[in-house]
Amino acid sequence: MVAQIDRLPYTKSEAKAWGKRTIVDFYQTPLTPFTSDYKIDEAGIRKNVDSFIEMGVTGLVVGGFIAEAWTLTMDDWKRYHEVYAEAVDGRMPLHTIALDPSVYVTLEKMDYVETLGYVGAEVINPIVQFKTDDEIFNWYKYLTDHSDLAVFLYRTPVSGKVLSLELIARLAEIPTVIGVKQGSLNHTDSIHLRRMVPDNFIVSDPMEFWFLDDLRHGGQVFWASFEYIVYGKQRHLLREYTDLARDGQWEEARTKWEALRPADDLVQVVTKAIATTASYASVVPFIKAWWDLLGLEVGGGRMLPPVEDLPAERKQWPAARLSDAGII
Amino acid sequence: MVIEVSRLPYTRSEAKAWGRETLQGFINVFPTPFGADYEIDHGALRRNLEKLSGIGLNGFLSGGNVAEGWNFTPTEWMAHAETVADVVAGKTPHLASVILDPSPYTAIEKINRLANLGYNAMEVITPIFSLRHDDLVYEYFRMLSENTDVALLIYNTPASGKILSHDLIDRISDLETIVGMKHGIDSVADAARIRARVGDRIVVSNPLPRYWVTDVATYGGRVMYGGLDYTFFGKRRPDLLEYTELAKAGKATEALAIERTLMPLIDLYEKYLTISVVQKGIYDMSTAKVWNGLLGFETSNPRPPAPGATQAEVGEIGEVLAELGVI
Repeated sequence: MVAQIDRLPYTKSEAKAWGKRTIVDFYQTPLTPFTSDYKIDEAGIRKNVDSFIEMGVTGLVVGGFIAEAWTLTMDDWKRYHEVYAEAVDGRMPLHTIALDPSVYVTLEKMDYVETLGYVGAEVINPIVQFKTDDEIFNWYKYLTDHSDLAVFLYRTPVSGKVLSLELIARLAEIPTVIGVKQGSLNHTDSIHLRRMVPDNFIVSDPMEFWFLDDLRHGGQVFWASFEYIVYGKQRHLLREYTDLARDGQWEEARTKWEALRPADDLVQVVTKAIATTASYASVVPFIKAWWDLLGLEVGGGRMLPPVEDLPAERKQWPAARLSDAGII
Repeated sequence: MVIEVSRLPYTRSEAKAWGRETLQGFINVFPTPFGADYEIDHGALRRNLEKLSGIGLNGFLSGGNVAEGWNFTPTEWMAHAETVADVVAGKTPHLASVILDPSPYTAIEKINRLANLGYNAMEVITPIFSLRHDDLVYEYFRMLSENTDVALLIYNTPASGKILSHDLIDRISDLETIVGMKHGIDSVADAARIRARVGDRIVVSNPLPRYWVTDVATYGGRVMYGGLDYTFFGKRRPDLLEYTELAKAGKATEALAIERTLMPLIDLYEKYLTISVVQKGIYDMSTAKVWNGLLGFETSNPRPPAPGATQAEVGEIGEVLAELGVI
C-alpha cells in the first residue's frame, strides 16, 4: 500500500532538492522515557518535545537504537510514533528510523508513519540476508520503488556491514534516497563521499567533533545525533559556530568550537562503547542519566529489560563533570 | 499482554525430559510457496504440508529463514503460523517455529500466541543486534524462558552475526525450559565438544548431513534439527533411514558405505543450502525452492528483492536429482 502522496511536501522527483533545501542544522534522536510498568511514558514524551522546541532542535529522527524502539512490538512501535506526531503537531519535521531486514516490514512502517505526517525515514541496510553490494542495492531499490517517503541511508558498523562508498554513490542516484548518516567514525569518508554523489545528496557526519570541518566541506546538517540536546547550557556554542562558519568567519567559529571541547570530551567518554561493542545497549543508560540532569523526562532512567538500568550510585556520575563543563 | 497457554504437553519442570523424548530423527523446515503477487499461497502451503505429513518426519520447524519468515510482516508471520498449525498441530510430536526477533517483547508475544495454536517448541536465534555481549544474550534467553512455558531451542548460527561461546551455551542450558540447540556451524568436532559439556541438560543437533553418520555413531547425535535433509532426499529417504539405523547400532562402516552412494546428493545439498549459511551467514532460498519443486511440492521464487535461481542452477539440480534417483 502506498500512502497518500499529498501529505508529503515533495514528489519523488523533488525529494532530493527538498532535502537539500530544508534539512539543515540540528536533527536529534530522542531517548524514550518508560513508566514504572515499562510502558511508553506518553506524557514524558510530550513534555520532552516541548523542551526540544524550546531549545531550538530543528527536527526529530525518532524510533532508532537510542530510543530503544528496536525492542518495541509492532503495536507499541506504531503508538510511539503516534505520540510523537501528536506532540509535535506540525511544529517541526519528523523522520523515523527503520531497522528491519524485511523490506515488507520496513514498508509497512514507512507507510504508517507517512499517514501520521512524517516526512522521511532513516533506513539501515539489512542486518541479515543481504550482504553484497548488488543485494543491498536491490533491497533499497525495491523499498524506494514502493514508497514515496524520502530515505536517509544509515552507514554504521552496527548493521554488520558498513556500506561501501561506491554503493552509497549508486544508491544516491535513486530519486528518494536523499542522504546518508555517515557513521563509519572516519571523517575522511564523509569528505570523499561528498565528491562521489550528486550535489543535492546530503552527507552528514554524526560526530560533533567534525561538524565545523564538515561545514567547511559542504556539510549542512548534524543529522540524527544527540549532542545538541546533551550540550545543555553549552549548546549555544554549537549554534554560534555553525552560524559563523556559514558566514565564512572560520577563525571565530573555531574559537567557539574549541570552547565546546570539554562538553564533547564527555560525550566521547559515554559513547566510546558504541564503537567498541557495535551496540547502543550499554550507552543509553548513561545518556538517560545525563538527560535527567538536564531536566528532561527519562522515567527515572528506566531501561527496557533485559538491558539493565544504571545503578543508582552511577546515575549521579555525570553531575560533577557536566557542571565542570558548563553543561548544567 | 499475557496470553493464556493451555495446550502444552509438559510442565516447565518436564520440558527438558519432553525435549529429550521428541528431539530425535528428522525434524525439517519447509519453504514457503508464494503466489504470483508474492503473497503467501496458503492453499499451496497447506497442500505441501499434507504431503509432508506422510513422509515420516518426526516433526516440523516453521517460520524461520528457510520459510523466509524473516521477510514476513508480523501479520503475515502469524497467518503463516496459523495455516501450519491448522494442518499439522496435534498430528506430529514436535511442532516448532523460529524466533528471529531481537526484541524479547516481540518474541514473547509470538511464542505465547503460537503455543495457543498447538506449537510445542520454539527455536530462538541469538539477537542480531543490540543484545550482543554474553550477559545480554543470556538475559534475553532468560527473559524468554521466564515469561513463557514453551520449550526453547538455541539457534547457534553465523547468520545471527554471533557464534555463542561454549561458556554461554552452558549458562543458557541451565534455564529450565531450554531443551535443545541447533548447532549450525560447520564442525562436527565442535558439536561433539559442546554436547559433551551440556548434553546432560539439552539435546544438541548438528544439522549438516555431511557429518550425520559420524555424529550418530561416534558422538551421540540423535536428531537432524531444522534442516531440509530428509525431505530433500526424496526417493532416497529409505537409504538415509537405513544408514541412520546402522549408525545408531554402531555399525559406522556399513552406514558410511551406503552414505557414500549418496555423496553427490550431499555435495549438492552442501553447495546450494549449507555453504551460504555457514560461510556467509545467508540463507539463499533460490535453489532450495527449485529443489522443492522438483520433489513435487508447490513452489515459487523467493520473495523479492531476493533473486531466483539461474537456469544453469536449475539444470544442475534437476540432473543430479534424476541421476541419483531422488526424483
